[in-house]
Amino acid sequence: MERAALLRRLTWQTGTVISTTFETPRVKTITLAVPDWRGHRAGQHLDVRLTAPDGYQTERSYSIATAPTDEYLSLTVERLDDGEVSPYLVDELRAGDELEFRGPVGGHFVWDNDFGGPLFLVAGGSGLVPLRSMLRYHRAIGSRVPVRVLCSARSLELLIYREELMEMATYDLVDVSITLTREAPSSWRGYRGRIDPMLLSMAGWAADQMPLTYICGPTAFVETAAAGLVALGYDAARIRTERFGGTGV
Amino acid sequence: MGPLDGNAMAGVMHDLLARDMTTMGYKCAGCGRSGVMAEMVVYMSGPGTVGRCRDCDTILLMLTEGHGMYCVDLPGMP
Repeated sequence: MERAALLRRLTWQTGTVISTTFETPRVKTITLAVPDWRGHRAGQHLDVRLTAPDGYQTERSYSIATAPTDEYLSLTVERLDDGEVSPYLVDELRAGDELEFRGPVGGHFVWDNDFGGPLFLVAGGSGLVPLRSMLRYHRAIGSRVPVRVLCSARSLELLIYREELMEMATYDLVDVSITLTREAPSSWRGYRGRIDPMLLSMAGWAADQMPLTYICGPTAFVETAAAGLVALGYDAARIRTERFGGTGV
Repeated sequence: MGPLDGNAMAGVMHDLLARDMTTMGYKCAGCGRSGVMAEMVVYMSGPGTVGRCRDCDTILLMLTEGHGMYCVDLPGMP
């Protein structure tokens, strides 16, 4: 039975948009109702497919923003000006519309409680999306794994899930650090500037604690973070990465 | 669009091979690096998808699609 289930081909399905919420002026969370949703793992993504009236089809991957334990399935999508899919999703899609997708997919960039810790989650811009799924799941299952989170954003206004992060930071097992790379309020007490080994060492765990690290962000951000952590002595085999083609951070 | 990684191929590879391939191990024919498919450097902005070794740039995977047919070449995976 299990083998049969594993070898099932992926099919395109349709979900109905229940609501859309702007996280920042360019980033939108889309919540879907999906009949017979078979569940997902924290960190997985969906492929979304759009079909033009002339039959042209194109697809892009978007991380699932909600935890497996959440009632609904949400995606958070950053609008790329030269994108083929994201401008439609951010500007046009409305509650009641249908959206075609396949998934959940991806078995590498996922977190489960029995992977151990401590956990270090490093996000550049909308790279926070799959990590938010992990954080929500961590909370929902009452995990005792300690977590440190480092988010890089251009400004406080462009930091997605701002209020939820502040709320998560009040949980004693979760420590949230934020670095702002372009502009910060004069009263800002967090970090400033792009990530580098110094910042990673302050916000992360000591290498001898054998942290399990997840890094998600634009390609250049992920390369910098991963190389920095390896230079600090982190075990490369315990660093999982996911890159996307978003804007810089 | 710059290079991505093997996570971006998860959907199409799962569709074609009916299982998650991002955790599948490989050994590069060019430099001997072993890793999982999620770690490949993946270019998706051309007419097909190309996966290269993160260490030595050897082409490990090429995926093209036309008229509903897919062609997968694995030149760098012994």
